[in-house]
Amino acid sequence: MSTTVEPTRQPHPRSTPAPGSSGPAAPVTRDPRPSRRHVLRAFGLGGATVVVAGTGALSYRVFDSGALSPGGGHAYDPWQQWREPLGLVGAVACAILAANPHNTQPWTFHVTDTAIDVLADPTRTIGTVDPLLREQHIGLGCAIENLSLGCLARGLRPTVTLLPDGVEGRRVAHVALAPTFPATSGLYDAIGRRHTDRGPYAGQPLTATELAALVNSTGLDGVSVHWVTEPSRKASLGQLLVDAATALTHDEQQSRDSYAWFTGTHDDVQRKRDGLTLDAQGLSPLMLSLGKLLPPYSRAAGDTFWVDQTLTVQTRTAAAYGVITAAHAGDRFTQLAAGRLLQRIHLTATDRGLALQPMNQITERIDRERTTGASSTFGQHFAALLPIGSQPVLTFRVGHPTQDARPSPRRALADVLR
Amino acid sequence: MTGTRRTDIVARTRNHRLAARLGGAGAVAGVVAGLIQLTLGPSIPEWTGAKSSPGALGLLTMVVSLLAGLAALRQRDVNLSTGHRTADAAIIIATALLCFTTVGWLWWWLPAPLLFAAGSLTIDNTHDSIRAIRDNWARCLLTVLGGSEILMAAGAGPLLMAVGGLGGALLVATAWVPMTQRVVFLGLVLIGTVPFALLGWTAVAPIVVLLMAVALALPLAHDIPTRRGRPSVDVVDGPV
Repeated sequence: MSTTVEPTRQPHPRSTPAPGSSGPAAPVTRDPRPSRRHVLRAFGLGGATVVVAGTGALSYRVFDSGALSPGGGHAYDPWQQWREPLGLVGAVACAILAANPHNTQPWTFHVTDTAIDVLADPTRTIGTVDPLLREQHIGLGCAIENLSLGCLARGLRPTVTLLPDGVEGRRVAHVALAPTFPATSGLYDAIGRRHTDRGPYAGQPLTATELAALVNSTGLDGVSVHWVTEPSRKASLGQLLVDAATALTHDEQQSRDSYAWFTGTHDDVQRKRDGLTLDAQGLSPLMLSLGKLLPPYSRAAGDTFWVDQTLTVQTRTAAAYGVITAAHAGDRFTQLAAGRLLQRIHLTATDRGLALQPMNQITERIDRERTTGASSTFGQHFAALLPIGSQPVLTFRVGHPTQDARPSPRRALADVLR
Repeated sequence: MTGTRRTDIVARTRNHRLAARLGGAGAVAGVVAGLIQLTLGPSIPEWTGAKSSPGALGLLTMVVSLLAGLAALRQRDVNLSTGHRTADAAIIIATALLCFTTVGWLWWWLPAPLLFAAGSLTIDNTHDSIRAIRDNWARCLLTVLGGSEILMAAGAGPLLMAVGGLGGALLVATAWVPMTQRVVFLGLVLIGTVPFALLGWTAVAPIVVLLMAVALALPLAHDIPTRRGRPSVDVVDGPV
């Protein structure tokens, strides 16, 4: 049987006619029933339509969540622009990049011609997570340290007076400035690279010499660092951290107050420019993107994620724990000094290519137990791991990073200057 | 020519001219909105949607508004085919939709209504338009994929924005520009999608765009005539 091969589909209407074809094809008698090829093609296009529609929706989600621009946008500009401002305002640009609890940025600054006042912002607290404002003052201490480094780099010698109006006053520091020669340092250069690293650390241990080199407590009276490196004590502290995280998530009010500072969407991050973000959770690039594409975390899911990360990532991969201790951990001067020391340690670690993450859940539970009158569970267990007579002010872990830590959003300078 | 048909043609011509005017005005308003986003975006975030990359989004708005304007102005050509009018309508309406996400409230007050009206007036024969879309459905899907890539690029960092913007535009163009060689067609589809997929793989969607683009491009390439002068269709479709 002789057949003529005719295309069952029309070529693209504007495609060049095939060479050799001399005119329109001869009329062909067609079977009115659709061929198997037509049916398959129709099904294929139908399926493709569904998938393409889904891809379009997913693409919008990628756009809307900023999944392809982690750490991007104006909320992160302060990390790029902190060296540029001159004078006293430039020093404040350094201060706002300091470590602080839940990225609440609990500070404002009053700048005059010759001095900068650092003030606590009473509206920026984490409620029952920090009922005694211990962490708020540690964060303010961190800001004071960055402020001092920023002043020195701009030819301003700082003289810091802590709590000039007493412990009840809003001014937590008065920084008087006098002209001097500009002096930068490794710590100053690390200000824009210092980020809390909540991701996994490499297994490689840190020697006692390396750890000791991180600490410079010059001018900071009453605080010292106790390192926990011995495996069994490290395991005990790790378990205590997991237990404290679990207890905190089981405490309804603490869980709510903590979640209130979680900034879930890309638009909120750019608008509010504060709080904890997915970007800063130490996730791998793929997991971070997937986390952004999914709907925002619920409080319960966030609590579960945190406890799981504490158990499987953070305590499991810590090379060492550091505990800043003092004779009186509740003293405001001590807390501010501890903050300055933490910032120095973190900047030094950054300068040396090490990762660091403050882990405050044990002290958060200690303060919670104290304010609610509950029996002191965590206080007793933690005391057993520390030198006799010393009280814990804050805890952190250090190690070798496995990935770059991402920045947290920061409010603009104009929003913190008074 | 009957009186009814003449009236119909006059009405269509009037609609096309109106579409060109409305679309042109909408495009100008869109360019102005993009310019405002580009220059004043960070200063008036409540009007511009508080976008993280106002500069890039302002530029993108200006570019797609100009494209929509060109598509609208083409409606003055009385000899334009139904297929081309349908494609122009798609460009105008897609621009009207896309820019809701680029310049915030600035898009609502003038550009969006004007472009939606222009896009609606551009389609003068729904039946023929639907047939044109149906006959080129795979190319339409490829165009949607290109648009998806551009949308993702609009929210990305500078490098990804450039790669995705150009790649998406290339994919859209490849879907509609007549090709004489399969290799060129497939090559352009790959060039339009692979770099963006490699750079943005963590977001998953760029990978899906690549896979779907290839899946749609293969049968389309099959329809392109071979050098030997005949589409490589090897099925005998009924007795002759």
